[in-house]
Amino acid sequence: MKSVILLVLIFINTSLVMAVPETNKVMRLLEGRHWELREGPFKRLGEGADQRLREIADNTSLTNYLRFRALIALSLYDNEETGVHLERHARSGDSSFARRGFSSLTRAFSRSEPDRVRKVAEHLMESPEAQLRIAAAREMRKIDPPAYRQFLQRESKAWVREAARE
Amino acid sequence: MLGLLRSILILLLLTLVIQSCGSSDTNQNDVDSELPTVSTGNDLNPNSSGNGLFEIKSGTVSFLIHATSATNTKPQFNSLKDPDGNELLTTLGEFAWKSNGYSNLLVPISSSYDPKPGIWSYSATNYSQLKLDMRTSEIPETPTIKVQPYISGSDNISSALNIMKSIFSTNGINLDVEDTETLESKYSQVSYNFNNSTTSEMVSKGDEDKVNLFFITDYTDAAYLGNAAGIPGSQGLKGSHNGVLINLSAHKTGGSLNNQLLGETAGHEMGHFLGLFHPSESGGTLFDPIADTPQCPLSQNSNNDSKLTAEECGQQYGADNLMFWDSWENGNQDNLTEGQVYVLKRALIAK
Repeated sequence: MKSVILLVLIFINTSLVMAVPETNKVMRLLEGRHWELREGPFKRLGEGADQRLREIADNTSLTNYLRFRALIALSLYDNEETGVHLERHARSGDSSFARRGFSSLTRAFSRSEPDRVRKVAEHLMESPEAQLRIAAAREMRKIDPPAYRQFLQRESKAWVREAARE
Repeated sequence: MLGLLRSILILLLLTLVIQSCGSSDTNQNDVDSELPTVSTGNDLNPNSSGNGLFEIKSGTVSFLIHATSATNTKPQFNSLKDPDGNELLTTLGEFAWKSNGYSNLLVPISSSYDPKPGIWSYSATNYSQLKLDMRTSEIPETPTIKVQPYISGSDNISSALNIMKSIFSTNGINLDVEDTETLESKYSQVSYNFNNSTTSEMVSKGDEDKVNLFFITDYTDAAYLGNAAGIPGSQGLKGSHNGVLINLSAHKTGGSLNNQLLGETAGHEMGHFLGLFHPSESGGTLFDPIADTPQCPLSQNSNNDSKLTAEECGQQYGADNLMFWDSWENGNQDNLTEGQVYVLKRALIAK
């Protein structure tokens, strides 16, 4: 009898842990031609929404606008799984995903783990993609001003230096 | 000695009082005597209070008043009265485009508004310049609108442009799409904000008599499918608000462009640029000013999340309309109502 109760408890506990929102509920929050992030609806989805967002961001069968928005919405979650996920995207070869991954990483972790953000920013400041260098330099200006000034000295394109200063 | 000082002090005080009264009178007289005059040509010349007059000649199809300002202020229209003295802003006001650096007023935004011939009056604040553009050419059965695409990168957008052209053609508008021009690499990723210096510089390349479509690789700061510089954009006026942005990378699935979606986005943003609003906004409580566009009411919200998706609204409630607020995965958005076509046919740059 005890083992039956134990099994039931384990089942209930597992069910609670697995109670992530349905993917289509999360997807609905990413729809619209002129989408902007609103925190409330995502928070109302409850625990597990970040897991769904990570799945959407990684789903290559989806049109990018949904994946981009999932990455942006992940800035609302500062847990370790999300941090690792955002770092991976920030270091990816696709600049659209890299910039959004970095932007969300910054929003979620720049206060609690500035070193984590700094490491990715250092990497992106060497990127051949100008917009990635700009985004990384702007962040570095806040967390490591000397590194930011060094970037301005070695950056060859004037418009990139100018944009990094904005 | 004390008496002399007192006399000087009284004299000084009297002088100050007289001067201040005189100054006040002069200012009052200036304002009172500065009656608005009827502007001729494109430059509007309001008086110092921002009030002015302009003439709409017989045969005018549409007009657009542009108000520009520094990018940190929002020009504001406070009144627009037709020759009969009817105040249009009581109903048109919520649809008047207002943004930092640029606001405007378009007539007509639906068949309820008419560019009546005669003397119109207006009142505006926070502007640096006011301009008026009018269209007097006749409305042909199938008007033509010139379109100039620009692109950053090497994606092939010809299929999407054909889809966009076909949507308008089916609805009685001919699009004269010019050869696509390639943009410099610095414009490959730009801000969605038309006041941003790089975006502004890029959009200012567009001609004033065309819809300028900028197919950018990506936004630097947004995840939109596309956005227009205004509803309407600055048709007839070259500058920062004379075009629309369309995000190429947002339309890709596994590296390939979704041409149907891209063509619909280009058409949707062009619709905004020419003066069309979303028939229903996502919350199901705000609707456009056009009488025959399908409204998707809040009652269609099946899961009470206060967001009406294209699936929930379906064709019956306008999900197939080009101007629906959301894209539609399970159907094409190629429909426009007669009321929407009424506005497009009267677009300032249509011929």
